[in-house]
Amino acid sequence: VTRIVAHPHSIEVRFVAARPIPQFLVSPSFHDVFAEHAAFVLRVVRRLGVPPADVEDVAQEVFMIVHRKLGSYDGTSTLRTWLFGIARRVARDHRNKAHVRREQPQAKVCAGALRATQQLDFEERELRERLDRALDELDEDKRAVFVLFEMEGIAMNEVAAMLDCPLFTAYSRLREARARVRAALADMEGTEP
Amino acid sequence: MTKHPTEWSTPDGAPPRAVQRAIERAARDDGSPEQVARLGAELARRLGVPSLSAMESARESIGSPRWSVGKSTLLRFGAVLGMSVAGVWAWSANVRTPVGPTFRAPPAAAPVQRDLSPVVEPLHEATPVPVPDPPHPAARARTVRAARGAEKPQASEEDSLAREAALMTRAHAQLRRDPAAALATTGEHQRLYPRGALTQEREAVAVAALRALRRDDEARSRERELERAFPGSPYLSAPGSSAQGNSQAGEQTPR
Repeated sequence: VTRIVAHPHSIEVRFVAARPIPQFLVSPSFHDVFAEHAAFVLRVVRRLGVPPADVEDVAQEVFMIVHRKLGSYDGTSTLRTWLFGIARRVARDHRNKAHVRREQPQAKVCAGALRATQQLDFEERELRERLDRALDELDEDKRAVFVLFEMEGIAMNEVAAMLDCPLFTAYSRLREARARVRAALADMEGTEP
Repeated sequence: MTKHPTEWSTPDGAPPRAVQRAIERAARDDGSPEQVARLGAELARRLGVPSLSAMESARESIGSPRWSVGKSTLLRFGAVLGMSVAGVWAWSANVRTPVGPTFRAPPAAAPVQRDLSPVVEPLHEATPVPVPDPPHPAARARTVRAARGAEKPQASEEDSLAREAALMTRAHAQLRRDPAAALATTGEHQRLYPRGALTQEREAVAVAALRALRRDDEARSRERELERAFPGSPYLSAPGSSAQGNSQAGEQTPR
């Protein structure tokens, strides 16, 4: 069997040769941006403090801006970083509006009356609400680091780039955010599914 | 010992269990396929576009808000995965050896559907696949925790399959333009569904992404794990190829 071992450089050469640089690399289409990043935008605006009932409206505003400005995206930052910047601003504006309503906490249910799966769901929802409240207590920068690193799983150097801050600062914010979140959920530690 | 800044100040460096469960819950709830579909429909209406193909295809691939059980579900997943498999295969073939017939023909729908069966080969029990994002050591501990909670009856099977398919659709879409993002998405899938029905597809995307990022050693080792866990997988190159000749990698140039 003839085995072809690909060398990193030749992969690049072959890749480029096999696929001429497509137009979408230079200027991604709105459809592609939506298909790839819609879920990311929805998650991020929710986690940056937009109430669940408003998340889709806010994400719509984000994509309307994306639709208008996509032509000016110059590729100096990653598309995800660019989108995050827009999403963050729109989420912030929304939060600052006086009329934004807070979600009412769900009525307390007697946990003992729930079946096992319901109880699991109940516990998880409570954990999520506690996490949201803990995030609400953080300032926006610390919240963003926690959301991007812990919840989105984005590498720290990219997080720092997305927030336009030094890596050390990002780590420091992460440490403080974790401490606050951990303290807020400390009394739920005993709950094991 | 001083912990790495990405690790939590817990004995094992992983997030406390309560925090981890809250984050896992958020991962299941936020940005759901149903939300994406609604958002796409509303945007199409606002922009006055009668047919937005990418949005339509996104909606199609992630399915209707409620997934019906049975044949139609399987057929739908079969179609989506068939396209994904063909796409991954084509991509991998291009990145790897565009001139050599190293990759087999794309699989037909039948072997893909076989992967949808609830019986999943114990890829992660026997041979834990490394977490694809080394700068994120906390994720490693998370994977273990996610595996622990994976068998809980948290959601019906078809719901989790829908979510897995949505994640894989996203990873595949990212592969061409942003392999690092695709790799992160496979990491997300691995955390959420360590023994998911689409494990094989995830590993194939991860291997392709690692190759595109020129992380060849990791790609090879991950492909070996894939080969070990899924012998005869349609995603593999020639039989035994990844396990063989690795010592030659980087020394030989393709012809």
